[in-house]
Amino acid sequence: MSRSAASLPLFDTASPGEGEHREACAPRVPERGPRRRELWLCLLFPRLPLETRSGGEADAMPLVIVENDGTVLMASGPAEDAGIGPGLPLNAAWALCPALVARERDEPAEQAALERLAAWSGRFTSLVHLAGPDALLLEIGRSLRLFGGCGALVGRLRRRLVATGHEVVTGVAPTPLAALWLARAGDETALEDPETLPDRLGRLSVAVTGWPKRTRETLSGLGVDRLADCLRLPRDGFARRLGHGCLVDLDRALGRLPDPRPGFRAPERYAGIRELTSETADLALLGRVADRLFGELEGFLRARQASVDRLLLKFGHLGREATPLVLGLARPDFRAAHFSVLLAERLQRVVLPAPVVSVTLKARPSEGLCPAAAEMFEAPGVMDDSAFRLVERLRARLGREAVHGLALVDEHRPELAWQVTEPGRGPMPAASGRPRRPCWLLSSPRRLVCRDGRPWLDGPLVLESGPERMETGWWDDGEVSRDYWIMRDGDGIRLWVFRERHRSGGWFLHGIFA
Amino acid sequence: MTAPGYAELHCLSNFSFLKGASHPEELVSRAADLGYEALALTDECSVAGVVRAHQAARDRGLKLIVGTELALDDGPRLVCLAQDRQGYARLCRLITRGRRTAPKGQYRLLKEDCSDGLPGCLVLWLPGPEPCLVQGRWIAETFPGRAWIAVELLATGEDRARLEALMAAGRALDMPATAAGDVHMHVRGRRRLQDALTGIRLNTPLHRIGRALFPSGERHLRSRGRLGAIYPRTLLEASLDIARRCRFGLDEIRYRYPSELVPRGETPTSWLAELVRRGMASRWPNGAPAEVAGAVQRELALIAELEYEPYFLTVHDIVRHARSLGILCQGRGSAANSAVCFCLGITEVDPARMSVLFERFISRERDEPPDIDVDFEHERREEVIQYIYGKYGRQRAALAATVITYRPRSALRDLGKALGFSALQVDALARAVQWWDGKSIDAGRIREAGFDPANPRVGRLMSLTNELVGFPRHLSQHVGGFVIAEGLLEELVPVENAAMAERTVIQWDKDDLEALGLIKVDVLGLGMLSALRRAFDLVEGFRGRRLTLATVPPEDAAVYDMICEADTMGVFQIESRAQMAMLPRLKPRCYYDLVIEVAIIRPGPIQGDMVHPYLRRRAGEEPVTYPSEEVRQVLARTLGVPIFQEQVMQLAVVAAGFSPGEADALRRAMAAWRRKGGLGPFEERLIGGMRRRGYDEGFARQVFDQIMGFGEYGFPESHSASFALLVYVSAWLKRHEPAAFLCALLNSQPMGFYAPSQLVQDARRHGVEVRPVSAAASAFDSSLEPGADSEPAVRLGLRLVRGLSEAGARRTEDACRQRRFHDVNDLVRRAKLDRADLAALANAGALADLAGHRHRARWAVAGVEPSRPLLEDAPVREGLPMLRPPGEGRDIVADYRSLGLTLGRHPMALLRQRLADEGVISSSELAAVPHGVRVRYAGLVVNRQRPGSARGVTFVTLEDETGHANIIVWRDLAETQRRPLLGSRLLEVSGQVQREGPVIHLVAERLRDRSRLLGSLDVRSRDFH
Repeated sequence: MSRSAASLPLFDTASPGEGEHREACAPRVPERGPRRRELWLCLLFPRLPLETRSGGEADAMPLVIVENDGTVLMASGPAEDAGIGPGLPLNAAWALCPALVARERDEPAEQAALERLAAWSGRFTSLVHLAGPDALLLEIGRSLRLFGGCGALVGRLRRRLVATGHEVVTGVAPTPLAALWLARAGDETALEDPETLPDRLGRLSVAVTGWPKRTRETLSGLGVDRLADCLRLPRDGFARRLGHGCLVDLDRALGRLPDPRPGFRAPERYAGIRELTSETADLALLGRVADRLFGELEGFLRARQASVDRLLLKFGHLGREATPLVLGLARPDFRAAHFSVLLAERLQRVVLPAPVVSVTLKARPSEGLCPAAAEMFEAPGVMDDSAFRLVERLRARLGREAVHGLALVDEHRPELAWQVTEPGRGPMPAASGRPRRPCWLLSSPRRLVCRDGRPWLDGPLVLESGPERMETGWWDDGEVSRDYWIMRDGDGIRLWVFRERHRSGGWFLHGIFA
Repeated sequence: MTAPGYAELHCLSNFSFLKGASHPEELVSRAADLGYEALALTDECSVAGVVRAHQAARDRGLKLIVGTELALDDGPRLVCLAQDRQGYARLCRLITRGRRTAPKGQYRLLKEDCSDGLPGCLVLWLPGPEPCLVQGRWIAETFPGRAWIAVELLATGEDRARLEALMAAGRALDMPATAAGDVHMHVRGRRRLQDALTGIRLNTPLHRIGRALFPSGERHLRSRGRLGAIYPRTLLEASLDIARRCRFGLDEIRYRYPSELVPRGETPTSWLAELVRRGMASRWPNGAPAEVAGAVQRELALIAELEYEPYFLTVHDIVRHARSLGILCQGRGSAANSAVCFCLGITEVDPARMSVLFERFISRERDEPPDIDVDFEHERREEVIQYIYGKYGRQRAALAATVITYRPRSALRDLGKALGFSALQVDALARAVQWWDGKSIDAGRIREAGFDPANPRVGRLMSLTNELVGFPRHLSQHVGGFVIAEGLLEELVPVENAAMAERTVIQWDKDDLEALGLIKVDVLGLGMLSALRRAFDLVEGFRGRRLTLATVPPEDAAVYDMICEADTMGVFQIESRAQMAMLPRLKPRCYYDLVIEVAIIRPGPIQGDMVHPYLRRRAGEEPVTYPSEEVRQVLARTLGVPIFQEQVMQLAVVAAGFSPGEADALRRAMAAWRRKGGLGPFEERLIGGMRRRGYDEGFARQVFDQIMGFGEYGFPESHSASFALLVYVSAWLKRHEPAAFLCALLNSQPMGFYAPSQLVQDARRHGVEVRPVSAAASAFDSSLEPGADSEPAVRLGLRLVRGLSEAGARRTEDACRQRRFHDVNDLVRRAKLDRADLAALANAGALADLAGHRHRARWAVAGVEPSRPLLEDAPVREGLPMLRPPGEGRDIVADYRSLGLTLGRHPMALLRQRLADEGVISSSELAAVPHGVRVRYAGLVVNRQRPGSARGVTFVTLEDETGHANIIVWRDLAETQRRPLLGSRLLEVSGQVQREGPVIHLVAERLRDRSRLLGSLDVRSRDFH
């Protein structure tokens, strides 16, 4: 006795013979039965990592996406022309192409893009499944009649997809795995007849399975390169060496085991982002990037048969706040082309404060839109705190923006040593060990006149203590170089005054002590 | 009002890593400019920067005080200043204690560590924001009469209150106060760098550090006028008073060698003479030749006069011990090639062999410590190091430090992070640095890196990088420079932990040691010595004849014939491409020719253009002349061309009138001018001196140019002489015992220029039979088996198998020795191999004897379940799979992947017909092509080299089934054909044949990547079965 029962649940009950040609992995007669005729369409987005990090402009430059281990995951067209391909260490890639631009892979962004695409494709089927990092599986068996057959459906979908700027490879087969594998093999000929599955799949390379690298190397080491070679191996030996999972995959792909796939539920709102490969102020380029987002949004809206009346665009910058841009629509709409025209008009009037590195688009279908006033009181009312109620009441009266909390920030520069927070929240580092600071800090320092080399504010100021020298902040364009003094004016009020150490060397009032 | 006098007593340099933002030299120089009376360098728990400061202070005439800043874990922060030699020793011990009890780079000290009051030290108390009187009292009581409160007023806005509080504390404690500056930089301009260093130290981008940064740049050396406005006069005067009480200077350090190696009743002189006498008797059982005996007497007298006996005794003891462990070693360096060292066994170079004058290396006048480096087998050097630690104890022996400094790339990387750049952004910028002239980076490069060139963040990063380059980053251990002291080392210099466990380093590097006249012994590792010892063992095992470095038959003509043909793959030193190209022209015929060969193919002589004059003179194409008799004395042995470092120094003495000391200074300047500059003063003195002595300008200029060329690459004759012996011995083995030589090289990898694949092919071309790796026949190491004609054959060892664990390989060897394996299961059971080991063996083809072709072997091992010992007698019965045997091409690919070599046909042999049809020729055909003819050649890329001395030329070595071809790619072509040049595994070259004597190069005109053919090899090879 040598076989563990667990390893052989699918073992062909024919005798475990010694014959070299026994084809235990080979397909058995497909189960007959009143099974609903499924047909799966796989949408494979082979360049998703590039597309999410280049604003869709990947082929404008030699660009690579880099894995965590510092090797190239994917190269743009110009980079490939320079001889760069997946798996190459980044240093080697740079040696081949000094002008190469490298970007880290952003998997959450890819996932988000894939989910947007899933939402987008909801208008072609009721069942969309997220299959791994770069593929969607659409069950289209039930949509065929509506769209006039497989070919027509796929054709229409592809045409629509162009607007989003994503490159796609399709695969069509009766099982989800077969559709996925055909797409990975780049075999776009629809396979609708289950009888031809074993033959068509057998011709594919083992690589399409996405099995772990180790498994594929083991197979390659055995001289097994195609799925047909796999199917010729004895099932028990195959399972022992390569694990049960591979066998199950083969059976699922061939329709010998069921392969149910959970559907994807689209979110309530749309939010999309495209990063650019480098800082740019090119408005035409920004327009193109936004258009691709509009393309996605249109699919999203069509899938939920909704429209929007307000779009929020944000242009991200390096090291500073993003520039927001709100597009209000006169009446709700869902067409990308319309959004595009609106934006083009607006862009001509926009002054961007800095070059842009990313474009974000957010929108919410109009059904969900609430009046602003209602939202104000949506805040969690569970807090039975009188201070909080006070804040609520003040805000109700004065407006939300007029009431806020304060927190200290760990920073030398007085202008930056505090920040606005939600009332009652935010970090409050200990004030101990801090130098003396006035209660009231002017929103910006006020220049003082100077008489006889001394600062003057309705009279001469009397020096009380100092100086406190502050030379810092050079790293963010907010450099200060000042000597602060505490002085008294004629009324005995203590003032916080500084003198610029550089430039004019002028005197400024910056705060007032209580 | 004149500015008051001042001595800065609290000053950190950049040897307080990532805190101080100025070099010690900069601080000293600035303090001198400002007219300070003294400067104390008080790096945190370290004196690593004081020797540099000491030298600078000596030059500037500034008084330097040695001290250190310490933060006690359970107490206050202090500055300790060494008052006298005893205090300095106490300070070093304290630092050692702090450093040795903490992980590398940190320290830990407690109040009790200072409980003896640190005699000989003065102490400054650095109180916290609120002066703690409990701590103050502890200080006052622990250091009575020797403690001050350091008043450091740094314009915080509270200076007046601070001063009052500290003065009040002083009155309460009855402790005087002094002014001090908490200096972190020599000028205010280093403030940004200091902030950035803080960011690096805290591993936090600057915008998130907040108040952990200093609020201002006040921590610099301030002018005395300003200090006078800030501090009461009494506090400034106190600083002067303290400085005057510190009398210690590093010049006082005296150093003695260990004396215990001398038995009772002997003096070092008599004992060294005795050891030499014994050694002489064993080297020459029938009595030494008279001239050797005379040389020994002269050398011993010189050694006695300079009192260097303990040094020779120390080296002798180390070498003697290594030899007793069977470790091969060989000394080199200025003192190593002497009759005394030959008698002591420190070197195996017979003085009779090259009539080298000891006085050439050690001179009476030059008061330069002797220098002996000893190379040991690289894999066994650690045993020698542990012996030294064991013998002298860690209190007396430690490795010298190496100061690791910031280079442009590391500086950019660290600063980039501190300034908030992402890792990839920094990498992209780091690439731009390759073209950086040190000031500004081309805007195009910055755009390529994804930035707007006008972005001020990038500009800031670049200028800071410029400042940071050259800053010390941390202390590492010197490769093998040991300092051994008679007394406690830690009273001489602090000792700290190295990164390696069980290693300690002192806080000074080799330049520091040299500057203070301390002697070190270099214990180095050399791969060739490992290989030679193995070859000697193999020869003895096979033939029963024991060879040693000294007994390999000398001056064998067949060996020199082989060398002259450049048939030297695997031979020590002369196997590189440059050496091979030179051998047929230099035609070495004797030992001293090898000494020259080793020294002449170096960047120094090449850049100094000494190679061709020497070759022409040697070939008799140019007369050998000397401008004077003195010069002839110096240069006669190298035909009038200066080749060795020693010759340059001697020339400076005899021709330019340098004193020996000046010549030595010249040597140092030569070594450093590329980094620091500073040959200028020597230029005038050298050329002027020679002209005054009647040499013509041309000759003087030529000598100076050669000195410039030497740069840091100048090679001393004393090293070359020792290496030449290893060259000869390894060449002899290659010529007469090629199987043992190959075997030894394979077992000593990685070493040398060539991979096992080339070494095996070379040996097979020389008729050595090489047998494949087999689990059923191989040992862990490659080994010799009886082959045809009772000559040895090489059986490749299991160590070549990639992915096979050493333990698994050893168990396989043991089990196989007991009984032959009858199948894979037997192997698994008895050698207890895990799946990874089995797979490695199957991939290597090492199971061919047990399981058949690779596909079968892999199927067999993939099915083995080693974790089921109970079932071992009931083998799994399962269906046999249908598996094709791999084709030849696939086998070759697998051989390369697993072993890095194949014993099957060369991959190029499989492609030969196809390439021949295209008109591509082979290496053997190339050898017959006349000069100037254009050909096409293709081969596997074995080697790409771009030596710094070759002005942008890339050298590529290609290999096919018939041999090698050397390709020259000029810079222009390399730029335009970067992709095939760098990306090819199989490269086709169209170009012109260039012949220079027997040396053939192919000068590339067009490159073509043919690597695809190697891929298609796989596909086509399937047709073979």
